[in-house]
Amino acid sequence: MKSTTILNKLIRKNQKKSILLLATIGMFIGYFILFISLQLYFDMGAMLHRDKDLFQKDFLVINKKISLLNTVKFVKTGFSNKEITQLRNQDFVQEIGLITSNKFKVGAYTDGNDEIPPFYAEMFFESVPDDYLDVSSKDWQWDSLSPFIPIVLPRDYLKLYNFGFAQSQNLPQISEEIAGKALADFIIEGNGHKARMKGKIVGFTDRINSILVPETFMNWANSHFGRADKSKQSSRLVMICKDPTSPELIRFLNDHNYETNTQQTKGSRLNTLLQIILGMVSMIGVLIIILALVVFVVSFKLMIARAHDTIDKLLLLGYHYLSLSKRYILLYSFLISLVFILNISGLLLAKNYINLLFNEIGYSLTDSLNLWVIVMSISLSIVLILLNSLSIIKQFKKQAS
Amino acid sequence: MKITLNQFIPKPLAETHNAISAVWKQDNLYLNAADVNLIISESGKGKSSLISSIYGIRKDYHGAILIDGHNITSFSATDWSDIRQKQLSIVFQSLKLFPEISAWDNVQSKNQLQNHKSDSEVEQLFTGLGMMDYAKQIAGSLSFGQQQRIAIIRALCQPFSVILLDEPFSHLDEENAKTAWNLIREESQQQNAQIIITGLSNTNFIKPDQILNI
Repeated sequence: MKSTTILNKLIRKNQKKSILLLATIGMFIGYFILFISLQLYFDMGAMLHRDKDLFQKDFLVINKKISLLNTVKFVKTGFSNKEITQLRNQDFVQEIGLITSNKFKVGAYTDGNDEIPPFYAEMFFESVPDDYLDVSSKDWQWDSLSPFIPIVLPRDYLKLYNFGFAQSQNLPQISEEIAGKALADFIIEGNGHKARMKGKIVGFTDRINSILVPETFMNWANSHFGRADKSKQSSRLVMICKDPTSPELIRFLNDHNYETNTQQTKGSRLNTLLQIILGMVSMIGVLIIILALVVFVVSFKLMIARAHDTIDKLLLLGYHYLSLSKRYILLYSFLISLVFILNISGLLLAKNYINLLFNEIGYSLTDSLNLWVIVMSISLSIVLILLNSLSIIKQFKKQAS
Repeated sequence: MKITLNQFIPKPLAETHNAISAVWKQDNLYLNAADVNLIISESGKGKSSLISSIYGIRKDYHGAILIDGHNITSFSATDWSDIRQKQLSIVFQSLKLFPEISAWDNVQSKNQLQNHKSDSEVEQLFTGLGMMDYAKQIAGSLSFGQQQRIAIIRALCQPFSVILLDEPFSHLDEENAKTAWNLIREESQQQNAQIIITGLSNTNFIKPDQILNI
């Protein structure tokens, strides 16, 4: 019989198998909770970022919240230069463009024919720097010789007409192409001037919810027809955001009573919520791991204490305390490695299942485990092995001296 | 290996009475000066304390124990492991066998540290002391005399320069004691080692080269 087997026989009788089994199971549960929440955190983060790139383009339109004070004109809804500079200095802001409104009177009209009665409706225009707009039509240019004013409408307006108004009134539905073929008549007046002009829809945007004209036209019209007494402050800003899922963005907007399209910052809210929930779940995992570690440390101390006489005799025979402690360390390392392997297998199974669930509702997550999850679970295992091994060696050294 | 006592006396003895002997409180007493060194005293006079102190188990003594000129208090756990595996063998009065494993495994627990003897050589020792039939028995189930023989076989299964024997034949009949002694002498001579043996009195078969009375 080999000496290893003799030693194991001597030492094994002092093992508390049931406690070790419980501690191993507990450790596995702690590992699993911690690392599945980390994996989900990485997966969700990746998904939100991907969606942001696909749909949101990092553009946000910001305005101040309208309250009773605004209505009675105590507080202005325009952004002052100071407020704009402050926004520009925020980490999450890449660029800010001002949305300019018309300072003149504008109205659309028809002269009327057999089908459509003559009408006149007051309107408004807004403009933004071209860089902020997702319209690339060659017609989106204006100078004083242009035959018409190029206009960009929110795509939602067309939808509202096609699926709301047109259907209920038995009117034909209009495609983007057809809408672009029609010319509308406008009357622009102010500052003692009056002009009749043609307007043409050159594109639709998902980005800014307004009737947009080129900035060149707006500047010309404002200087020509604009009333000098009107405020020059912009009441809406368009912002290119580095990361619209950033929780600081939401915090800043809330703190300053600013508003934006909530749809576009849902990523941020979701992200914050996820961070909180997954953070709490991870903490539970960490707590269970700590408890399991304590159970391991205590049961190994107990096992070694129970084997006190045997260890004493072995030391007297000439066994080195390190070679004796090695047997306990190997047993513990085996159990932690088992937890590590079970954990990775469990994570792969769980991930597979979660991916299926997400696929069913139309989202795709990454196929493999996140590298950080693997690196961190290896590191945690090494730290756990080191912690108890040091405690075991310390106890043996004390007995040997 | 040279074991020297310098002004050595176990603390309990020093405190109870003013002990005077050939061993206690001597300057540079060379314990293993001869091949067979017998230490004689009545019970309770400190023989076992001396053996345990030399082996590094007891630390409650005045004076110093030197091994090859080094005070044993300066030895590390690694030093002791090395000395106990390769230089210093021992038969404890209390034997210190593992009662839960077989007689054979008890011997192998020592032998396999240095792979000193082959299985057939160990078998010869078992046979020589009439223990072969009991080799597979759990040590705890053997009589004290049988256990004493197992402890002696175990002590011979390692390389050593000095072997410490603390009343090794106390539970053996004279014939078995003689056989055991011959085996010990044989192994010591082969290894060119010295014997330090304690006893209540001199026996006719030991024939010591040095006798120290406590």
